[in-house]
Amino acid sequence: MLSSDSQICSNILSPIISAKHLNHFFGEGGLRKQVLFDINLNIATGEIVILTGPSGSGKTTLLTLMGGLRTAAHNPADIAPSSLTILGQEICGASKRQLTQLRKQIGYIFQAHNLMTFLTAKQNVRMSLELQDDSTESLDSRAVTMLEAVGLGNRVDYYPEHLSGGQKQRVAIARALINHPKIILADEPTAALDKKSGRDVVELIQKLAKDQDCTILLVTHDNRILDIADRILYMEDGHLINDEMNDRWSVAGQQEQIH
Amino acid sequence: MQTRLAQTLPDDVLVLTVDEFAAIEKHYWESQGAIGFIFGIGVIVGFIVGVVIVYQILYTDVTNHLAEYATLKAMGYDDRYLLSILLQEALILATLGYIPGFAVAVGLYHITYAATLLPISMTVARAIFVLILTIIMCSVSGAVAMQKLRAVDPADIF
Repeated sequence: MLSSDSQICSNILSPIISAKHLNHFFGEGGLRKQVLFDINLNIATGEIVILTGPSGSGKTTLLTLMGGLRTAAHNPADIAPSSLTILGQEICGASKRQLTQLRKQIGYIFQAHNLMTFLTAKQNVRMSLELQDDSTESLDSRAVTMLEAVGLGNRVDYYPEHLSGGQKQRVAIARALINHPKIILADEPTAALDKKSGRDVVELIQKLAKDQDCTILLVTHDNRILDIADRILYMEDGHLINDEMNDRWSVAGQQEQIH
Repeated sequence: MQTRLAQTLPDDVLVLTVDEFAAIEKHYWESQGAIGFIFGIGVIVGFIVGVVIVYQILYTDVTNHLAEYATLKAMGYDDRYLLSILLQEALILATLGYIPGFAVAVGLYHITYAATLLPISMTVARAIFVLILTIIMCSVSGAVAMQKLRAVDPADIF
């Protein structure tokens, strides 16, 4: 009992993503619009978090910030200082080079697949592998193994135009997961898919992520897949309006089971 | 023989061998005559037009593949890698443009000779000079097109 509590405590105390008083603005001068208001949240290693809310609520902006795709700005001096830490790297005021380095440890699954249309499925997956300095011989076989794990062993040399939507999404998943990233970011992964393909895709992400013990952040409108999450964050108009885990986070060392 | 002739003739007479005469004529037309100057300007204008056209090609290509470049940036590829892709593209353009250009030039020389009896022929020096200029031109275009690539924001594909 005691050891599991201390593990829970250590998870609370060292979250993989931590945001404090995060604000985000678009535009300059007179056209400046605030899109995120005082976001505070912590995400632990291995959690599956779904971010949902109406269009324009800022959830995609928050996702891009939490994925190191944008630099976060410091708050003005009259309010509490903002902080966004991902894998130990402070994002507020980070340089482009630091962000690029951070992104190598994060896997991305986009809504529109974003596969290179001039590369085969295997070559697309290899693009991820080539970011790391590995020897060339093993890259091909590792790519094929990953594609087999997502169920596309018989399609490794097909071009994206000959793959269905669900298959393209699986290639994107293989590409995102092959480097064993610590965080996976998915933006509407089931948007263009039917119920069965969508379910398969999401369960695939969940299974592979559990195997590798990585954190998943999903933005979605899809009500059919909300049950896979450990935690659901609701956003509206740039505010985090409902996070049932938030209260438990705010008191460190509380003796409660987090599931 | 040249020196003996020079000594016997008055000072305002130049005695030259055929080669020296050719060299002096060439130098005159290139540097003093209007035709040489026009040719020089022609080369410069051709270079500038080349830079603009190659830049246009590279810029359009970058724009057409913006989502893919943004995806690469999101995955963690840095600007240097993307710049090397662009430069490789520029060099391939340079080589693919040079070969037909060379053929057309040689063809034009023959046509000019047939039409005007003006003997123009391709020299190795000129061929190499134009090749180097072509490579420089494409590299400059590639570097300028890189500005577009630098501005690509991976967050926009979300």
